[in-house]
Amino acid sequence: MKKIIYFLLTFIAFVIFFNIHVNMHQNSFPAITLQNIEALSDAESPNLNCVGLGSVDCPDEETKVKYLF
Amino acid sequence: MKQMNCFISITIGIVLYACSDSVSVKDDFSGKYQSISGKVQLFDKVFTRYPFRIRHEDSTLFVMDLHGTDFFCHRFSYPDMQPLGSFARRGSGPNEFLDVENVRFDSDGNICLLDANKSRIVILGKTDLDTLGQIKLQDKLIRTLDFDIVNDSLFVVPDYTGNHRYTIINRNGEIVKECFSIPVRKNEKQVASISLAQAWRSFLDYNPENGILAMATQLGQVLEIYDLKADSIINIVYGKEGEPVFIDKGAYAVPDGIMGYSDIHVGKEKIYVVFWGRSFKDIRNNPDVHEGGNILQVFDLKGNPVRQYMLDKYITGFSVDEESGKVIALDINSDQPVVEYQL
Repeated sequence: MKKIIYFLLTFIAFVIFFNIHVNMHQNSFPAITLQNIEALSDAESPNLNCVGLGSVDCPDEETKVKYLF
Repeated sequence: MKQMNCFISITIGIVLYACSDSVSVKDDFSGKYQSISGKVQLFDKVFTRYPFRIRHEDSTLFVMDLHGTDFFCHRFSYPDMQPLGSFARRGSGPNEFLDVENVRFDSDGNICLLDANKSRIVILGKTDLDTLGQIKLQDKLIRTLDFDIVNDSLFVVPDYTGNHRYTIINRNGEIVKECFSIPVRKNEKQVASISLAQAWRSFLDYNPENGILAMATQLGQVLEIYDLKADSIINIVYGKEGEPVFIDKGAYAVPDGIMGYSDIHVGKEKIYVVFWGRSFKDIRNNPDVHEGGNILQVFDLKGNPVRQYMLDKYITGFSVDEESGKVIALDINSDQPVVEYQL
């Protein structure tokens, strides 16, 4: 009887493990999907905004800025 | 009972493993930290907006201002810090500069400046500052933002094409050799190479004595070490913050991770880098806090961590005298930016 209980508990643990593992991998989108999402959002705001005085290169304005968005 | 304990331990282990992040993060400098304080070197009559590079040549200190109003470069006698004059005048005239990215010295002591917006390396005489020559970079190179001197006839430059990691050019500006590729590990195959190159914009330094070229990413925490003489990769060191994180906007890469390294020096036996480690989210939310980094990291020539110094100032650029252990740095947030550290 005890053996059957251990077997069932072990089986449940493995089911939980594989369920979590599969879910983790399903959460990561393929790179091409992410690219498409970014491309769709970029189509609405294609401009590059360069802000402040800094050392980050702003190729659009050929100057160095604090950050870009 | 023993069987029950064993079962519980295994079950907990399995669940913990399943929930853990697959990327392990390790701080390689653990146990090798040291805090040091700097000594400010006072000088008068020279105003800098964004001091970014500092060079110590003989008894002269050169300070390069990335956003200089009238001039990009200033000279001081060292160590008494008396101003010796400014040069590299801002302007679009024949002997003027649209910008200056870095300052180097050739074997004769002449001053070499890179003007990225004019795509030129300009060579000035060491005493009279007369223009001795101008090297026009080929159109094939897009937006070269750093350079170093390999020998009397060659330079090493990065660029934004993203086709190669660095390029060797001669004194006529002709491409002699294109080397390696961006050491990206993530799946960035869909990203345009020009965007990838922008995100991987790196500062470089070459030591002709040992043939070591090192590159440090501005928008990530990756240190690359190459043996230029053997034409080989020695090591690619991916730090805790990893590769540059960015949003691809077609031909542009918008940084979205951290500010990483801002200057690098390859010595005889060690490589020195200054690291910021500040996220762009924090920079966007608090743009006026400070610029610069207060972490000076030292690696050996193989890329093994040696020591990490926590500085009392936030610096942009620095020069190192390995024999004396002295570092002269630029505290960008102060009106008196020149600070000396003893390692």
